[in-house]
Amino acid sequence: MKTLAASFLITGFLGACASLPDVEYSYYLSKSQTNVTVTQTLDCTTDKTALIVTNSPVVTPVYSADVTKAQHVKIRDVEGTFSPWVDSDMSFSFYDDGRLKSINQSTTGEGETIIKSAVSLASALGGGTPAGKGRTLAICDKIANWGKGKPVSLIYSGTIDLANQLGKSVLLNPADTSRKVFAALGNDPNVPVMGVRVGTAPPIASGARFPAAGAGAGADYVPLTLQSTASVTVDVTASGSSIWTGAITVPLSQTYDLPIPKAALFGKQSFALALSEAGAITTVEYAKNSGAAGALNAAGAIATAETPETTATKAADVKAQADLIAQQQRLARCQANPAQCS
Amino acid sequence: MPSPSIFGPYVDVPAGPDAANAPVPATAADGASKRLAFSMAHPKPTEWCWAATAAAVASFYASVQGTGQALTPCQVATQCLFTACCPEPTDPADSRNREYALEGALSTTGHLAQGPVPGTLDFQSIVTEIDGDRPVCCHIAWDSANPDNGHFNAIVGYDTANQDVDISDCLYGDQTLLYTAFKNAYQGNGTWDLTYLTK
Repeated sequence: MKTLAASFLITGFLGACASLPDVEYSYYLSKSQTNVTVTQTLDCTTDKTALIVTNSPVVTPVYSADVTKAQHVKIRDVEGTFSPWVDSDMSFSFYDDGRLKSINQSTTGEGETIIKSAVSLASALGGGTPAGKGRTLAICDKIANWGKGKPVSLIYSGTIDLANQLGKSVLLNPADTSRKVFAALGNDPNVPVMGVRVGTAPPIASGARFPAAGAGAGADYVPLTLQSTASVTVDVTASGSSIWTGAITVPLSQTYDLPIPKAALFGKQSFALALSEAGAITTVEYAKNSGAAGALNAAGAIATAETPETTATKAADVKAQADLIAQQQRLARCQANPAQCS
Repeated sequence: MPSPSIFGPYVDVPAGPDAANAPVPATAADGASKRLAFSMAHPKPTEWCWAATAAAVASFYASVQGTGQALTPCQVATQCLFTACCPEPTDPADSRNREYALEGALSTTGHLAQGPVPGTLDFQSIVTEIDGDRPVCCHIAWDSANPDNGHFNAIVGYDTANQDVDISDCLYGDQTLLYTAFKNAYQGNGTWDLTYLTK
C-alpha cells in the first residue's frame, strides 16, 4: 500500500573513524482495530409480501503504534566488536507513529489498498411454519411511510479489536446517521440482525524465525524484537448468514527475535528488512559480500489478507457512499419490482 | 425404527444372526438402521426452529462426545441476537421471535462443519453421517420463490431396509419418513433445499 505515513528516515553511519554517538533506536509494536461498515437497503415487493434486503459491507483494518510496547536497538551493538575498524551503514525508517517500517530498505512491500464493497444478499433464513406465506409484512408499510415510496437505506458500523474477539460474534449497531430510521424499522423481526463473526487466529507460519539460544554480549548478532501476526477470518453477517468473508492480518501480543548481523571485520555483511503496517515481515534479506542474497519475501503470507485503507481512499469511499446507496436502492427496486427495472 | 437406547447414543440394528457382534457398516442393501440419541426442544417462539435445532445439535455433541456444552434454544438465541432471550418470549409479536440463518447459529455454537450446501444429501451420505454420529441439518423451503419462508430440522437416523429417515423437528416432533417424501414433500409442500453438516 502507499502508506499514509510520511515516514521519516534515520540513517546511522557506523563509521570507522567518525565519532559516533551511542544512539538507541526505539520503535513501537503494532496494534490494530478493524472498522466494519455495512450499507443496507430495504425495499418490498409491490404486494408487500416479501422484504428485499441488499447489503454492502466494507471492512478496513487500521494499524497503529502500541505505545505500551516500545522496543530498542543500539547501533553500537550492531557495530559489534570491530567497531573502530569496520565501515558500515544502517538506515532505519519508521511509520510516523513510531512503528518500525524498514531497515536498509527504501520501500515496503505492501500492495494496493483493497476495499471490499460487493452488494450481497443474505442466504436462506428459516423459522417456523409456512403460515406466513403470502401475508403482508408490516415493515413494508413502515418502509413506504419512511421512504415516501422509495427504498430505505441504513448504515451500520463498528470498530473491533479482532485480537481480543477471537471466536466471538460482535453486534453491528446503526451509525449515528441511521439511528432514527433504525428506531423506526429496526425492531421489526424482518430486519436482519447485523453482526461480525470473528474466527480463530492460526499464526502466520511463514516469515523468519531464529532460535534465541546464543544471544548475548558475545553473539555475532543483535536481536530485533518483532511481533507475531495471525490471519483472522472475519464474516460480516446478516441474521447469521455471511454477506462477506475475508482474512485480516492481526498483530498478536507474542513477540520473537530476528537477528541483525553485527558488522563484519572484512567484507560487507548486509541486512535488509521491511515490515507491513501490521508488523509482519514482507521482506527480509541477509547477504555477504561473496554470497548471493538470501531474500525471503513473506508477502505471500498476507497476500490474501485485507490491507489497510488510506486516508485518501477513505475520503473517496465516503464520497462513493452516496452513489452506493443510490445504486443499492436501484438494485433493491429492481429485485422488488422487476417490471419497473429498466 | 428403534427407539434411542438408554445405554448409548443410538441403537444399532445390524441384519443377520450376528446382532450381538460389533456394528456392521451399513449399506443400502443390508437392512441396517441407526438412530442418534437426539432430542429437540419445542420453543415457544414460533420462529425459533433455528435456535432449537442448533441447541439440540450442541446438546447432542455435549452428551455423546463431550464436546462443547449443552444449550437451550433461548441460550442460542441470546448469543445470536445479542440480546437476552431467556426466559423465552411468549408474545408472537416480540421482535426476538425472528428468523435466522442456521449456519450462523451452528457457527456460534461451534458445530458447523459445512454449509449451507445447496441441495440434499443422497441416502448413502446420510448413512455415512449418522454412522459417524453426526446429525444432518436441513433447510426446508415452504415456498421456492421465497427462500426466507423456510424452516429447519435435523435428520437423526436411517433405516436402509425401508429407505426412511428419522427427523427431529421443533414444530412437528420426531417422525420417520420415506427419504423421498422428506426430500420432496415435507409436511405436504416443503422441499429440502439446503444441507448443513455438523461436527
